[in-house]
Amino acid sequence: MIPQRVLGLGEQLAFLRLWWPSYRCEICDGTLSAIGQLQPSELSDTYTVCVNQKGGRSPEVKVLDPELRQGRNGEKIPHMYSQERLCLYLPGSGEWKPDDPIAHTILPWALMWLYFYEIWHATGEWRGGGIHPEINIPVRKASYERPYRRK
Amino acid sequence: MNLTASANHTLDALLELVCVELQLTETQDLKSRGHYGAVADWLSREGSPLWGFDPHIFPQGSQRLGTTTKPVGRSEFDLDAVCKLTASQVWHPGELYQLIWNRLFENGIYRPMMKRMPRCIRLEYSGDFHLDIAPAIPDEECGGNCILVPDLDANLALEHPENNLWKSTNPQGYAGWFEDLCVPVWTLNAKYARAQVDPVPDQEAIHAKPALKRSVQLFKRWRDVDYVDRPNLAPPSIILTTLSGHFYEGQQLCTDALSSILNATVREIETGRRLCLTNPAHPTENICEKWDANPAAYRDFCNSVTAFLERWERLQALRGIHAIEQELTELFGESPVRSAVKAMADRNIIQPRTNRSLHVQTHSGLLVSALPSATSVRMPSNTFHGDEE
Repeated sequence: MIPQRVLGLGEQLAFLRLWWPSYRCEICDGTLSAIGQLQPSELSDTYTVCVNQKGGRSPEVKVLDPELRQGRNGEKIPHMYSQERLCLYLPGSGEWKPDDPIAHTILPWALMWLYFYEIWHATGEWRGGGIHPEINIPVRKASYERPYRRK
Repeated sequence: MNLTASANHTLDALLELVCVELQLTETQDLKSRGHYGAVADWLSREGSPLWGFDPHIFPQGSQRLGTTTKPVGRSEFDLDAVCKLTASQVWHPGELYQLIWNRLFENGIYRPMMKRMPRCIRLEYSGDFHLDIAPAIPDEECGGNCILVPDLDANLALEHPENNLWKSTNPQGYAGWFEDLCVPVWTLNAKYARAQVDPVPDQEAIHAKPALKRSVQLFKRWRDVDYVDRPNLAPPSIILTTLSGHFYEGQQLCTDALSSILNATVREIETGRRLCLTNPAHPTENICEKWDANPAAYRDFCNSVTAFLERWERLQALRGIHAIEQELTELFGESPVRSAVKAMADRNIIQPRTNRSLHVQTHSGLLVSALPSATSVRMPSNTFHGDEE
């Protein structure tokens, strides 16, 4: 069996510096952290976003500023983990693999997520598609075939 | 890095989509054209008692100008037309009105739909459409395309000797003045043998609609929304359209055009002289009659348009599609704005994402629909996920 290739933190950092030069990136205690701004469209707000990754694991993405808001009637923000981190891809589906540069996947997806977040606030509809598990089961590899509801 | 350089273009594109929502739908457009064509044919065909007076039938008002806006909260729409007869004698206005009334009355379809109005005959179609036909004769004193339209007291019999007021106007000249400011695209139908029926101009594809016309649509829509609880004070469309024409400075973007129109209007108001407007194609036709009769309506307009200018300027500095949507909703109403935001998301992001042409532009960090290039990263496919709901 061929071991899965993992992009090292140094390589991730090099990609980030190349493609997102305004981002402040550092590796500290085995964790890569990148902080910078995202503005999905000319009409969109500008968001300060932080991406953290521990070697080879799923990157975690948080919006630091402005604070993300729930819907007008208190609806939860769609496609987040614990209303804290953005859920940008389906775990175990191969959409993101440890050898994918964050610069080419996670940040573009975060950009798109923010666009759909604004449209959700504007229209009340999440227009970016995706999957939410309907029952409270831990999400594991391949568990995406369990009963999910497409939005 | 908050990008603002091209934001007016993007806001303009969103406002274009709002204007699409304000236009008649294709079905409504076809319906109004069909009804207009049928009535025009009935009035002007050979054998009609009007035939001998060289009837000339033409549309006037917002459909002619390309500045229609759907009414707030109703689906009703209308078309204004003129039926001009060439007469060499001095006519009594009621006599002219009666002549055209009688011709319509002969038709069993129109008979139950007819309604007497002071300056026109209204045909009320079942559903949501009415057609206003203003009888007219040439105004020989004014010359040119000026016409005289009956201005009749509804409480007096049509041919009562005292019911003899005419109103002189020039809708064709007005439309020409307005079109010249916009670069006109006019086509005329082949003439009938003696009668002439001008078609309702095609609804322009919205991207081909000049910034002036879109500005007028938005100005009128703002009026409809802002005055919804005090309609008796609302400024008539002719005033908003004329102000727009006078103060438009040839801008390509509707955002810039409306800024210019509103700024100049407010500057004029601030001089303290009351705004007085005449039909640019008819120097004695006062189009501010409403303000003469009701000074409170003028004062209200001064305050309201000043507030609109402030909001319009603030809007252009706003960022966040949701914040812009909220502001636009307050200005122009929820329904067209929400539909426009959805259409914008479809066009700019959802469709390019589906057909794999969505990219991130590396120098700006913006989402763009583009061909792959060395300066962009293609959006990889993904499925947004999340906790259980």
